[in-house]
Amino acid sequence: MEQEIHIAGIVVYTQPAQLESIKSCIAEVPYAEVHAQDAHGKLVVTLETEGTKRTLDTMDAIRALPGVLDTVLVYQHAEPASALAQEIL
Amino acid sequence: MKLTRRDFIKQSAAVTAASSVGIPIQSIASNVVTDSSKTQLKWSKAACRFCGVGCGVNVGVKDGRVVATHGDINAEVNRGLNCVKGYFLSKIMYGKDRLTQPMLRMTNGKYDKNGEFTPVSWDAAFDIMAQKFKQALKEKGPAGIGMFGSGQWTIWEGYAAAKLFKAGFRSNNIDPNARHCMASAVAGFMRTFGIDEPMGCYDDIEHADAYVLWGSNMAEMHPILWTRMTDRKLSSSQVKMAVLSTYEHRSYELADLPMIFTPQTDLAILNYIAHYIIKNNKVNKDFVNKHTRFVVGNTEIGYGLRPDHPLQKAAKNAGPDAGGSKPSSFDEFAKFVSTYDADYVSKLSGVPKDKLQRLAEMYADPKVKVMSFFTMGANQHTRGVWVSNLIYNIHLLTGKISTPGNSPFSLTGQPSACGTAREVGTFSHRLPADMVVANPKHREKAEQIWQLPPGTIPDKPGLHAVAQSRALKDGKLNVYWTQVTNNMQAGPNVMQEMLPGWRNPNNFVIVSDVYPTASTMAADLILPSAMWVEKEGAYGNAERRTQFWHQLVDAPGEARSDLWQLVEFSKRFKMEEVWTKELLDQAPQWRGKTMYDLLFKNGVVDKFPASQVEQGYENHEAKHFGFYLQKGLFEEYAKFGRGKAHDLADFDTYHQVRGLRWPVVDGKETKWRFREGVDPYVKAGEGYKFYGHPDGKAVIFALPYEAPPESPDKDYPFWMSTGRVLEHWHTGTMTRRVPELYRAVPNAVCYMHPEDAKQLNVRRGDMIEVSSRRGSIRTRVETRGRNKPPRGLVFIPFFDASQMVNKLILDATDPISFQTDFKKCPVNIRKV
Amino acid sequence: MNVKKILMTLLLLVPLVGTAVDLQDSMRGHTPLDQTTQPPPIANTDNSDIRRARNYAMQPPVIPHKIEGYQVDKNANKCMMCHARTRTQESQAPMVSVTHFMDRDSNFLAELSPRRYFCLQCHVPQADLKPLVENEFIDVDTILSKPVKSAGAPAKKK
Repeated sequence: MEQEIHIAGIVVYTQPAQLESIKSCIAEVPYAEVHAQDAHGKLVVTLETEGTKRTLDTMDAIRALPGVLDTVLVYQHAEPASALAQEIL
Repeated sequence: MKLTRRDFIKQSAAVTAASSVGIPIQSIASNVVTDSSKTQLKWSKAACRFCGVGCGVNVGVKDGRVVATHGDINAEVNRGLNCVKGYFLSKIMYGKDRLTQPMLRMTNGKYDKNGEFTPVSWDAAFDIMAQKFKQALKEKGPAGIGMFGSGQWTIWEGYAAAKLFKAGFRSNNIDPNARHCMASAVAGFMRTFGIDEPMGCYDDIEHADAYVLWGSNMAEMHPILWTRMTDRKLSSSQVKMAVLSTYEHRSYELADLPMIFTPQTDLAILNYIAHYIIKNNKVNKDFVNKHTRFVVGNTEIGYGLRPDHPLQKAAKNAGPDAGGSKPSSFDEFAKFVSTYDADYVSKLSGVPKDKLQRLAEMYADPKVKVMSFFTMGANQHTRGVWVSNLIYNIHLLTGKISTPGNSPFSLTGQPSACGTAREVGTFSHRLPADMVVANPKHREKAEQIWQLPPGTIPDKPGLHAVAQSRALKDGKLNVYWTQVTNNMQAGPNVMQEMLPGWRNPNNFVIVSDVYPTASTMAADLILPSAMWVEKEGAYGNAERRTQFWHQLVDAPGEARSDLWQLVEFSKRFKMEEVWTKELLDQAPQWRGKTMYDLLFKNGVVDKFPASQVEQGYENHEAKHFGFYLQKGLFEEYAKFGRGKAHDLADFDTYHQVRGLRWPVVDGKETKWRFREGVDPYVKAGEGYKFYGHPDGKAVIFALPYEAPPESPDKDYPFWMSTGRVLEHWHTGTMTRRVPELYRAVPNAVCYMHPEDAKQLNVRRGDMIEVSSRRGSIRTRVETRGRNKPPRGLVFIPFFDASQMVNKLILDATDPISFQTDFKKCPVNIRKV
Repeated sequence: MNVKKILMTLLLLVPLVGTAVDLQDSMRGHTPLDQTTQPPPIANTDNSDIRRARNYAMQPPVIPHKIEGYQVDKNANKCMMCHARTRTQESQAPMVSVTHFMDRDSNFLAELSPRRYFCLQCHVPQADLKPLVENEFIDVDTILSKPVKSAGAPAKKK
């Protein structure tokens, strides 16, 4: 079976004072990308993994970081890797 | 900008998550940009750059670039639709190889006809041009210079060129490429009606009961008119369509009465219809008696070939009498057409008798409102003028003319063959508003409007298109300037006449264009031009509708509009260098002045200040010359036609409206001409008046079938016809640079009957050599394409610069109109 | 090497007139006008069914599949066998645009407006070929997303 890629959009709720250090921790993760933040400590992050287990494990790991109040999964999409590689422009 | 699905979905994930918690997200390819100041495009109206239908478009501009166009919902012509070419207008200006600087053939820093193209400044370009012009004028007089213009010139470009040549240089050697497309139609109008252009309009489509296409492929060549006909026909079962051509094409998809006829026999079919109408007592006697008169046209008029050609020598009336005629009567006419009975015509044309009869019934039945459409099949014909006259015959015999739905409609190919070439008169024999140089009263009027001393305008017609090519080859014409046309690819007999003419070492050829073309490659000096909405422009379409647009974006690099080139160039000539002493003595106010002063700073053309250009729009020419050049030219030009049934509205009005159909009298456009109640030039009680003729009557011509100059024989056994395809415009210089249009039809092919292919031992896709007495090309066989020729005929379109099919075409013309016949070339085909 | 020397060398190399360019009509290729070309083979039509992005919203999409032998005349319209509203569930083909249900006066009709009947006047298939010359048209989204001219702001690459 062809390899799939799972793309997830999540929100990480942090204590505002810890936001920057949490952001740099997440940045260390190669398949995670921080897209936005706000003054109340919320972070918008995407994860690109090979399967649901990894996505959920990663969310658990982030939740365990000091200063993180919660992580919430908002959006998830999975497709074979070849389909995702197609150019649309 | 490359974006994969993965990028896109990642975006979506981030945006969705962000918006779920109320965080605004700025990403590069965001789905929705809601800042209105960013999304707002500036939309302006324009006319489509392409065919004679003249669709209205709206052009969206952002940051100095055209980013979108759409069919203008408010344009009467097309009501929101375009054809595929029109939908890609936003890409035609952006081919990477746009010409951006003048280029001159040079070696070691000097002009050399065999040198390499080297960029030069506009100053240097005009230097050498002026030098060459002056040299030719000195050695040969005004006969030694020539210009080949275009039905794609804007109205004021054509007008400026006509003035430059006829008033300034005093040469009638200016002719447009409309000579190749509409000249026969023009002569047809002038002979039958005494005045040019259709008497009906596109509104006829929504009223007609029957459409007859004579040598016209509207489905591909006038697509939006086709949609209007499709709309009506598919909504109403009683509307009938007859299509006549020499091969089956897309217009046959809608035909109830499809007919294929042997080339040239359209003449016979038309006479048959006239005969049928008379025989069956369907002549509208009242109309015929009141509004028409009969003549017999001269016959055996030759084929416009060089005088030493045996066919010319054998022709009785090959000279200036080609268009002559003798007064006749209805009875003589009836007798004349009686020989064109069903048996004879069916045998000659190959069309079955029952079909001929059904066709004739469409005209004969007084209850059927019939529209006849004709374009290149009828015009690009060695007897094209006759075809026009014969079509008018059958509408006149039945009185089916100038009323909604009853309409012999000559379709125009180019966007402004009407508005520019014909109405402005950029022909070797013409002046504006249908006047001719041969008529002293007409010259007098032009001289008066142009503020010229009497005798300025030369009284003999100059060289027409084909004659220009021959004169270049013979060395009689030594300087040649072409604008907005690609004659090296579009004109006939390239190898024997045109190419040797351009490369003749005694000649200097200047080509103004926007992209490299076959013509630029054969030229000595190339001038980069602005195109379409890079300049303020105006076109006149096939239904007499004049349409304007503003300059919307800038031309790239040093490219300048054709108008700018013509006007700026005129500054290089002192009046003493172009007019004789005798002439200047009559008009001493021009002594010491330049042609620029005479033509463009005469108090009329420079009357309007540049500040009158509409707010929010650029106008490069107004800025450069310091006055509203386009407005001044137009208003001076309009003087010719106002009061002469060619009335144009005032300049400013056209910028506001979606065009108006002339004559525009008291602000009202004219839809139908020559009829009381709708044409302001016809008085109450007159009914009809064909006021182009002094007696107010239209002329019915007795004209026979005459064979073409060349027919297939054992050496050249196939007929070849050439023309266009939907996706490409003319020589493809614009459309083949749009990837989507290029990919739609990348190359020319030879459309052929499968049985012919079998007999030639070729299959679809095989390479073949197609040759005529004048040249050859290689192309590929297509047996399953949109065009389905009968046995013995092939069709090869001319849009492909890598397959120059016009190398094969003979430069035989209609002897009255001097228009080349591109539709009937005997060729030989062999497998390669 | 001496900076001055380098500059002098460069100046001497620059000619006083423009240098000749290798002008070519890319629509024809290298073959001179008086000679005959070799026509390329008839290209294959793109049959991938992959939808291509339009250059701007109102552009009629190109046809991403072969249409050879498709009958479109007064008797039948093969395109509508997949693209009509009632057929799209079965065919999974995109429905004809809603604009195709409007007549000339902008009234909405129950079915395809006859003025839109001949699909091929606006929609065209595509040969599997690279363009002869690049087209530098820029679509409006690209223009809108161009980074504002602020110092040192790098454009985000995709």
